Amino acid sequence: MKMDAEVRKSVIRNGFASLLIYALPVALMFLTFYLTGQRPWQQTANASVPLLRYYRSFEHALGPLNNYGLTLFVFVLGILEFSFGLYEGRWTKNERATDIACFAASYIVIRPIVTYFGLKVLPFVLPGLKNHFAWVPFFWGVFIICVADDLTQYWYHRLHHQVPWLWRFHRTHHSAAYMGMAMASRQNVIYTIFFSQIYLTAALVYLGLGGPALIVLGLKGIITTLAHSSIPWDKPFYKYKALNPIAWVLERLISTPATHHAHHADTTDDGIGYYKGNFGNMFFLWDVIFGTAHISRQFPKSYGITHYEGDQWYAQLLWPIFKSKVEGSELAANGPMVK
Amino acid sequence: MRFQDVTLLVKKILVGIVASAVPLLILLGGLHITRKALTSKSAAEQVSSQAK
Repeated sequence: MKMDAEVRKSVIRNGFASLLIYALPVALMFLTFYLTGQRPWQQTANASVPLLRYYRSFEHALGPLNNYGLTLFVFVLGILEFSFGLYEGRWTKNERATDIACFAASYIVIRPIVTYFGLKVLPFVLPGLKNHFAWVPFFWGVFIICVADDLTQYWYHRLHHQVPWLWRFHRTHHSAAYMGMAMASRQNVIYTIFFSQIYLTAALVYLGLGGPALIVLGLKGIITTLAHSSIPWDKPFYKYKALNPIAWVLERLISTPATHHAHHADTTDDGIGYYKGNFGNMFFLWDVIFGTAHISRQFPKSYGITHYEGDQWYAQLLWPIFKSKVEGSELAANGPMVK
Repeated sequence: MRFQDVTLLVKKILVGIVASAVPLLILLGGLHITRKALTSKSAAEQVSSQAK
């Protein structure tokens, strides 16, 4: 199965535009330094030890909060979702096993791999560059990582929808007929291991942007978990007229439950669901810029994949290493690439 | 796992590497140029003010 010609054109066009967007924060920082005469690397050279000490202490303070705080946040959200009965009895034994296996894999498999990458691979690939850009001011570091990390994830996500042979690696994330906090980590393990933005951000941390990365990743974790959650926190912004202007900005800037739930809908026919777009993770702005956005301020009636018949949890977690036993499934041994 | 699955995995990994490497190179280059260009600019300004 080949990629649609129109889609291919837009991927190439938007890909080139993205190169400029990646460079934008650095270009603006350059312009600011040029106009103001700021030279932060000279301050780093004069007081490199205290500055690095400040960075390290900042990372020490925020590191555990980012690790355990986010996990705690996900658990509390999960308890709330259960308390309100938001899974509506659709969390079957197989779906439960899939969600839990994916959630555990993201902690057990991914973290050691990323740690190994940071400690062993990066010093080999980028020798002598550890903390080389620690002079980048905190604000600019946050801006650089926001764009670099989230735009890369936008592309990674979009390509898994628009390139037919990549779709099956992402299918697990869309197979559930419900929405909830568990959906944020419900991914095939191969999809998660090769998440491009993880390695890019790890490299930026190695280069000296550890403090800004902690802030951005914490914020991103909260926004993406809330966008997948079955708690529609954005509804009041659409309901009350006084809040409408805030809604207008919010829904274009970040992923909200309405726009991200639309991405998980099982149909596009109702004018609400839009699995062909709304690829943004933390920022929805990428969808607005590249024309893949669909904003309806409504929530789909049903989620998932219409032809899904409950592939075994191990196939969903580890395809193509393990295949589904469901006849005709995209994850089965002789299944179609896209059904 | 069959041979075609291995091919698929290799292709997928390559896509992932390109998606990480392209922005990294842009940022590395941009940050390097920022420092180099502005350092040589301030050095040139210092030299010209001393000459006066």
